Amino acid sequence: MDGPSLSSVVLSPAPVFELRHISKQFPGVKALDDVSLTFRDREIHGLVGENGAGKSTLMSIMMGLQPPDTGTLVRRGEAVSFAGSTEALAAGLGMVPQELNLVPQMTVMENVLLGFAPGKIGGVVVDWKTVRHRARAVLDRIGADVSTDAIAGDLSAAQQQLVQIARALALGAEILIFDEPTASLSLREADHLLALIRQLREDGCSIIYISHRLEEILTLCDRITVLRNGCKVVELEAAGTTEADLVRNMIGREVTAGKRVAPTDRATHDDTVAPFLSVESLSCAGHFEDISLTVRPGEIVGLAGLVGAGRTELARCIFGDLRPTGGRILREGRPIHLRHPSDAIKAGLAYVPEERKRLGIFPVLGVSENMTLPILRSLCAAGRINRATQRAYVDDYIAKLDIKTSDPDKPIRDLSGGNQQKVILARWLLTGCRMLILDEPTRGIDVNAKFEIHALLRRLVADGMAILLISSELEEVIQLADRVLVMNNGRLKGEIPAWDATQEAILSMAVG
Amino acid sequence: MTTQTRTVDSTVRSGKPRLQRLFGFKESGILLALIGMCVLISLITPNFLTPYNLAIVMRQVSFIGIVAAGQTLVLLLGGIDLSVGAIAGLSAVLGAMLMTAGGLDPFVAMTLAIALGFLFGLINGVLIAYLKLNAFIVTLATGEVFAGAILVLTRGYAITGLPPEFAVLGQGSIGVVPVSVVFLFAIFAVLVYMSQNTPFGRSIFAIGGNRVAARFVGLRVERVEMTVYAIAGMLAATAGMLFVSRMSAGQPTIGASWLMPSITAAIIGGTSLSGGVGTVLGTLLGATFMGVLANGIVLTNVSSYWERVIIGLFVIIAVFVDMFRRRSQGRALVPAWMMALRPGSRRDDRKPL
Repeated sequence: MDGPSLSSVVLSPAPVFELRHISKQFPGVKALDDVSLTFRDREIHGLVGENGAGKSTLMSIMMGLQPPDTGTLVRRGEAVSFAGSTEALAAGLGMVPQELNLVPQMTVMENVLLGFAPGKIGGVVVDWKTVRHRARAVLDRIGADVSTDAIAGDLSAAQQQLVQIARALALGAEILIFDEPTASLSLREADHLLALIRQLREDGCSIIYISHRLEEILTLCDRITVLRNGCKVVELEAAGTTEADLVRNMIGREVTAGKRVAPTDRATHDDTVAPFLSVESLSCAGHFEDISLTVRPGEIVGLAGLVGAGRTELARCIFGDLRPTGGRILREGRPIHLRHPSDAIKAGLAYVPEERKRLGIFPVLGVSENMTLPILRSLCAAGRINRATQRAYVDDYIAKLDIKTSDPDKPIRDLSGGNQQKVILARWLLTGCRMLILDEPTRGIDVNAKFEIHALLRRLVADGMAILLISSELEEVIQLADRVLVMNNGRLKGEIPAWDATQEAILSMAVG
Repeated sequence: MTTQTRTVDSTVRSGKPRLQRLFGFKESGILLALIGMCVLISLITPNFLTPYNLAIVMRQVSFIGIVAAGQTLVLLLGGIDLSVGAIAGLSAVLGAMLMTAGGLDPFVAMTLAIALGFLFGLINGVLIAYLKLNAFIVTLATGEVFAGAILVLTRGYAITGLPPEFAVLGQGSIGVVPVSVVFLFAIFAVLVYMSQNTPFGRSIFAIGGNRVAARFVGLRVERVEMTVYAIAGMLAATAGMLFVSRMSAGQPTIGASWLMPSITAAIIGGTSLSGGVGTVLGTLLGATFMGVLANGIVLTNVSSYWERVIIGLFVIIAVFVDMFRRRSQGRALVPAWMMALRPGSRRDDRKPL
């Protein structure tokens, strides 16, 4: 499995792999728009972009997991098309995904050659001797100190990753895709991995390296491609490029002008108002550490950061779903202990979770029931739910929030995403909550409903609601928030007042 | 963003077909099947539609119907209880022993037996709700334990010599209506009301419909789940005691054949195995359908061996209907406890939110 000799590389510069004019349309979103990329021999090619920029889609097309709408894949100058991942593997591509896909109950050697185990007696019986031998050889090649007979699930994250790399190499990969490989590794393990990736390059492999850690990208990669909103923005030589260059390209120059309107635009914000909620050096082991923040009535506090920065976990902690391991939460200056979301609801908090389908709605229940579940007890007279009162509340909010449904008892799954989200907001407003924690409140919602929800949030804060807004959409945070807090890797990186909040400022804190 | 603005929501389209409006209520399918079956049988034989025969049918239905009511609540929650038959048997045997060996008043003994059933169900509930063990496995195991305990207590012999006045529950009638049927209807009336009109009842549907979301709206998921298993145990014990009264003996075989019909009645009645969908009333109709079918087979001189074949075919039909319903909803086709039995499912649990 030696790479081509140096002279042949010089003589035949046909790139090892090319993507030509790849486009991919998903319902409502153009995931990739005419993206062309060239991967060369013995090169580490970095791929950066914000969440949703199209990196994952691009890689899944490369690995044959989904076909492109238009465009071609070219392997050493020959057009290829993959009907499935098996064909991509056969063409010498290998992937080390962020979420490793080993079978945890199986041994290391079985995982390395899963589906490709050599047989004997006409292929009926697995030839364990050869399997062990081949797995050992490839594990040794990458210096993995892992027993071939160990159970994959018992290994550390770093070791499992090595098994995944070994699998790719054992199947003959010459082009290796790494998706956020250092996200779950310690600093030392990450250093080991980066050294291994460099060694693979020396061995003749081409590497595609996806990461949010810009520093890592700059030291490791030879060339870097930046994607934004499904488009290729620029391709840079790593030498001479700075983090600032990357950030600027990731968010795009033109949008930095989209700074929020002056703070005076909103009902004047008063620093002397006592906070509704204060969080003091709150920690939750494994998720975030030492977070302090306050949210006052009548203000929207934005919480920005990358996926995995710990924002959702912080929200769940404040809402009583996760138990903090340190620090405390104060409501109007007095410490509160939240053992269950119902405690938080009693304290006047409300949480609109990130994954609406999985965590927010009860798909088969009606709109009316979805809206009133938290207040069913208060709707009771003599143990019976008063349907007339319930109906009156529901009709009121259907009108107030302009929820489009033909019938309040219609299953909520039949509503569009935006209307579902409005039902969830109405659910909490009915509880008379005083603070809303919103986690990606407009993700996957059409533009119109998004504007309506933004307008609703502005009305609510004008009436004295306290809002903690988590959003990965920087534009949304900048437009809505009075202050922006930035989390990075489980820590609060800093606070930016609304008038200073730019996408660059936020992103450089979030990725640094 | 290039998202196109959707001006017309899909929900605005209204106007159900007339037929659907007429039979739009949830139990319409099983009700039509039940009526059809009754009409068919009474066309073949005049002996079906007599008060005497209907009383016999409903008395037969009452035992399994009461067990199935508890099973339905568990299924609505997204769980399953494989121990209902064994709980019925163990509570029944214990109740009978309290009357004979314990010398207690039969109705005190019955109350205690029902309380024991509640306790047995509570054990299931604690193991499933708080220790997060898999419902299928827990109730399979406790079912074995309870069934074994019956044999340990009785050595396989029936407990006889019960006070004669106890026989009224299983053998007596009020007019033409057997007392056990009064129990059946009373229990279903309470449960239908509870499931439709109380916060507790609605929380069962909410948890079965989306367990994680239920926690986020402040429902005490574990507490509800535990209580539902306890209620299922209590209802099983009630059926068991009624059957003791019917037989005038604490037979060690009581409940041994009740598990599968309890699930079958719920499924035929429209309850989905994945939780959140179904009605208590549907289960009563499902159990009645099964009783009518068994009766009709006897009356029409068809070999009774056919009964199980036909019931089995109806389950397949019911599951088909259920699947089509869920397909259109895009819900997971597999209930949570089945997912947990899959190899490698522990990885899924670790998936962060």
